[in-house]
Amino acid sequence: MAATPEATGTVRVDHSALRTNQAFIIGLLVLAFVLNRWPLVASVALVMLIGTAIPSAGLFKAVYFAFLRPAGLVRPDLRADDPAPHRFAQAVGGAVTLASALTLAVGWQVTGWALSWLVVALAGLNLFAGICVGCLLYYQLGRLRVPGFTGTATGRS
Amino acid sequence: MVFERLVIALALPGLAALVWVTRTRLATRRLAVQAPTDPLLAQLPAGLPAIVYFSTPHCAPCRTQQRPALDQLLEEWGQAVRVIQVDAIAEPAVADRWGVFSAPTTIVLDRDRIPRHVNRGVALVETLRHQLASVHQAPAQMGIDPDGEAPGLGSRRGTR
Repeated sequence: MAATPEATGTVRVDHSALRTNQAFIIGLLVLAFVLNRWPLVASVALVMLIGTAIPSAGLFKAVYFAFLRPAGLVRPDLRADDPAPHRFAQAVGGAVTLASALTLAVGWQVTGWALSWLVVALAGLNLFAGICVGCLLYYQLGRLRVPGFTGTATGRS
Repeated sequence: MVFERLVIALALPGLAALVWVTRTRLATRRLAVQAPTDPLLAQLPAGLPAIVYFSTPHCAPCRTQQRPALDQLLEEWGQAVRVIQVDAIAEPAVADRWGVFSAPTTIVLDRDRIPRHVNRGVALVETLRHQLASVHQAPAQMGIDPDGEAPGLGSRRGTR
């Protein structure tokens, strides 16, 4: 019997949407650092976590689908892929960003900004080198046979 | 204050890029020393370039993108190249030895079994073709008929 996309966890994932998402995260977190505004960090965390819980409500991806792609500013890059590792990566990124916002809110500047820069670094690695560290973590959990971590996301070369 | 933060925001990514490039080069050098004598390559005929391909059973892009790309490459190159497939889940020690931390990972070896290119994530057929050509003569130059012999798909754990 031929495997269906549902059975294999494979669907068409637009990697341009993922990259737009990463670019927004990087841009806004760096802007928050330069302007020293922790509420902006909290907003990014909120967008990331909402986008993880309800993928269709992801604000940064919505900008891509509503404006950037129709305007031809970013070309679609559809690939057969498993979206689960990408969602997991965003959940991890959102959690770290939220921790950063909370740490900054209580006045722990160095730790707070270090966490934000960690998210910037990981998103940058994904955006520029095609290496999704959250997906790698997902892969490692799969190797350890942790239930629920069986997919693998694609990068690019 | 804003200016200082701006300088930091510009300097940090540059430093990170430098660390990343240095680390990647060191890892490639280490692999270049170790790979030629690795037991994984024991059955590899001498003088042929090869691609070591790491996948996992549940890796969707491995099935839908990487495997078809390698199959197409094997059709083009015939016996002029070998592909050694390793299941990183079934053989974690091999994956660790080759520095694999994601699937798919493809490592292009030259005729002396020295890794020349490491692709983390899906390597498109164009990328692999270019990398293979850079370490070896193209099939047409070697006078090999791509429709001739069966493609050189090998695996330490059997042939697909």
